[in-house]
Amino acid sequence: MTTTRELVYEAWAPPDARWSAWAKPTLFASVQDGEAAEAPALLPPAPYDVSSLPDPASDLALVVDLPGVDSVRAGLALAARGYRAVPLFNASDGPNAVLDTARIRLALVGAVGRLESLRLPPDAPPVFLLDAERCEPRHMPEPGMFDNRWVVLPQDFPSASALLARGVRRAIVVQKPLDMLRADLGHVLRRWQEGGIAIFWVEPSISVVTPVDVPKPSRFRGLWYRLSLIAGLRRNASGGFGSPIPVPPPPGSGGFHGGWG
Amino acid sequence: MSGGETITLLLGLVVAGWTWTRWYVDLRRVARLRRGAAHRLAPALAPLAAAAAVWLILRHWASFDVRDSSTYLFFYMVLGGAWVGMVARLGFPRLGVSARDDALERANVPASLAVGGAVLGTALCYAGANIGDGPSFAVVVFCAGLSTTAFLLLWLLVELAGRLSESLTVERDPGAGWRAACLFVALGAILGRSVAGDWVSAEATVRDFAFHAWPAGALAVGAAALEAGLRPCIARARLPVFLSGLLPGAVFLGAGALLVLDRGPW
Repeated sequence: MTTTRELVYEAWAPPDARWSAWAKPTLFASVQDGEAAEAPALLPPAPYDVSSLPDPASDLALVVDLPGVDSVRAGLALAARGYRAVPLFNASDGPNAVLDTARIRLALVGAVGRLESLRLPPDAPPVFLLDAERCEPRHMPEPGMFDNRWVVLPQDFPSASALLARGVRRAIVVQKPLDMLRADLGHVLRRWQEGGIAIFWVEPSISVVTPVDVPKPSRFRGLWYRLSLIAGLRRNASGGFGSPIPVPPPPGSGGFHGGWG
Repeated sequence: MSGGETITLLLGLVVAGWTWTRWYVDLRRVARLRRGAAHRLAPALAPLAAAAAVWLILRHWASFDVRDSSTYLFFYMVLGGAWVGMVARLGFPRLGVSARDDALERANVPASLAVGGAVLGTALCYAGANIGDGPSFAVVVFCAGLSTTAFLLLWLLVELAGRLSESLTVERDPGAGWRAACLFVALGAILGRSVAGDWVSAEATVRDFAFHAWPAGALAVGAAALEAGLRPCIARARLPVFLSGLLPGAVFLGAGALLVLDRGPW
């Protein structure tokens, strides 16, 4: 399939859809005109099978926090059941990247045809898609690599009052087996919980939805929480995160080799 | 121009050039895939309006040796560009609202309104410092430092007491955007007026400032209480923008204008 970044982005974030304002354009900006991609398998592999999750309901929102492309697969499988997948991937792609966002991007491109054929209603309940490896990469960042680690902030999600105003009363977090709730997501969920949203957790392989009491994370609602969280990450000039880590110069040559993303 | 003024001008050109080039490059580049331009409007226009306001004040009410000298008008415009640019780049995000992260990247219109108002408010703080006669540019820097510090502290007060950034960046409350924008302009006008006048001494300036600026503190306390009371929550539905934003904003602006008029000429 040949497409453009605008078309791909609008397929995932249609202008008339209720939750499109929260979809992140960052990764879509890396889509090249004419980029072809093989459509990924519709169903996520075990142990990330989401077929047993509750059916879409107007009072329900899902947060899928699975590794890399499995998050897209899960989102697409849930979209086929009537959820609106809202991609929150906020990292750019680059050569020698710390996170393999290229695969996520290709999966997003490849899913466009399938997504458009679903003809979801504008008010379909949301499933927010995250990469569980966003700040826990398989490769440690080193000079010369493209550091595209990223985090989520409360500003990246609808507030509790915005969810309540749209009828959402419950949120289910989908994570891989034995996974801990990530601290950055904890700030979001704790706010939701305090705002009156019931939080549940599900491990897809078990399919038992469990109520969760999200503990208050450190620096919760702190004025400088956001600045301190993103301080060690690299921003991208077009938005989101991701830029090269400068290579230290050889002794005696002076200056750094690197650049802006 | 003296040696100190020349060095300051060069430094100002670098800082103003860097901050505002980055500002407008961000406006053009960040999150271009998002539809609509409403969130880019205030950050795009506010610096131009701020520059126009500073120019008008310099041209009409600055020291006699500035208002008719194109060299000094340029010097103080550059200094103002650097001043407002640095405050916007370093100060605003530390108070919870970022032009790039909130207004542009998240297409957050309320945050962009607040950023626009804050740019104008900071510019008015600086512009007021240029009003009246004084011995050197150092007194302008002193007065602008006084008014701008007060501006940021009052913003911090509203933030700590009313959690303004939460309303703007998490709730994306349009009413909060209008309230904040109007509050910042009103605070800038009052604080700018509070440092206006012919230079006598640092002590006299601080004394005059305290006498003239205290209503800004009262306004900030009122705004913080209003913020805490109007933020959308489970127990309170979102009010129409006219009631929650435009009306309080008009009250802030009206109060600021009345206070400036009441103080009369410097």
